[in-house]
Amino acid sequence: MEEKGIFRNSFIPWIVKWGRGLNLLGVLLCFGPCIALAIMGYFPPWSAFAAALAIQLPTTMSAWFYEPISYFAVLGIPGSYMAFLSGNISNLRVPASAVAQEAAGVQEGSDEGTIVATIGIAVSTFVNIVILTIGVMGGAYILAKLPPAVTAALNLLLPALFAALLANNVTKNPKLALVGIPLGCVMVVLLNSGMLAFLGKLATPAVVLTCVFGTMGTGIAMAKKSEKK
Amino acid sequence: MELEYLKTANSPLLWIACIPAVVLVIVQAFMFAKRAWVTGPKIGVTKHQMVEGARSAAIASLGPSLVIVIGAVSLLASVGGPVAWMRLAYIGSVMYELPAADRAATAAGSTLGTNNMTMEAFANAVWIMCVCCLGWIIISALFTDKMGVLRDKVAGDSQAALGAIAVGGGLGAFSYQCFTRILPGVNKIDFGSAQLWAIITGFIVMCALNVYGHKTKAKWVAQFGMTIAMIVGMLVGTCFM
Repeated sequence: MEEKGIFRNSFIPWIVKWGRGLNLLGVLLCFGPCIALAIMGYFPPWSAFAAALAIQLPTTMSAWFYEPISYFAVLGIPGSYMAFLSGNISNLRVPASAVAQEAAGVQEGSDEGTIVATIGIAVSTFVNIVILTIGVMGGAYILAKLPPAVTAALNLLLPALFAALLANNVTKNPKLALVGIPLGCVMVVLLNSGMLAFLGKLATPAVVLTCVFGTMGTGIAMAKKSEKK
Repeated sequence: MELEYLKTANSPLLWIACIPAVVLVIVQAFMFAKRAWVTGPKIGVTKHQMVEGARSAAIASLGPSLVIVIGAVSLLASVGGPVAWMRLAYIGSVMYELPAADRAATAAGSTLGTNNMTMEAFANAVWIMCVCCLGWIIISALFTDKMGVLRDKVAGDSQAALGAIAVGGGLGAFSYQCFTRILPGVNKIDFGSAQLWAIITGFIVMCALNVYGHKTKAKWVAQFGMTIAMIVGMLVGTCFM
């Protein structure tokens, strides 16, 4: 089909080329502030750097792998490049992508969905940078004056958002939710009970990946089964 | 009085050093959106659908962006404006940056945002935040296209399977995010917890709105539903604070 041809043979290869190139350029630009400090003659004490690296790396390293894998299905190829360059994935890019596809009435993960998700994630990037810039330039002063109760309340936005995102997926496929939700609960209980302690630092990523792949796998099996009928 | 290291942390040179990274994010988003905008109509996505998608995404981004700004304020107080700005617009996330900076400062024998913070400790925090987030972008740069190939293989030609992969991924990830907040490190539900009620309310409101939206085909649900659920969830949660 010609339509498929444009998406598969032109759009996606272009995105992959630029996505990879710009993200690798991003690795270099990330050192901007480090270089500026070096120019001013400030360096971290390397022993302290090594110590902090040893503490921070194990907790973060697992997220490098399980986040791209977990959120890929929702973000799509262009969305993944943009989301990992701009950060704030679960709390901003994923909801923006999901809402855009929902409002446009396209199926999540389809070619059409990917187009709309690309636009949605790009828009979320602009909104975030504008608000953040205003916030950092001027709003910081006002925000610092806000009573602690208000900031504490605003911190509840995030858990409520995660619950709303969960609910969205529940209404899209309630049958699959009957597997996904109990699985999430059981895995967190197992993690808390310390029964996964033998996995060490890998316990949390193992839990997340089990939740994601367990539910995905069940969903694929259910979809293929019902199509055969 | 402004802390000594923050004078350097807020210096013009640091601002200049942070700008290219943020510009890169904007340029990429602009390029990709433009290409999608042109490609969309050729594969059957209407201009109207794309505008609806963009508008709804913009509205849905407001709440989370506000949360990020609040994170930026605490980061701002500890590492200065430019670094906080860049770190929250570029790779990483609001949940990751502050603990990373904190650990780095501690390892250098200082405490973030206090007057025992030295320039060396600040430099350490900056280096750690920047180096430890590189994995995300390297993995995404190298493997995103491979994940696409893998997904298409697994789904085959089945549209239903493709949908199930997306929904399954969301269900798994956010079910974990919710339960890890409902049961924060202990297997006991605290019924006085504001977080718990924010989660329960957000969930119920979103479910109800979705059911209503499907029945009446009301457009505003798809556009504002998530924002409404988020705000109502927050408000109910504050009753338990």
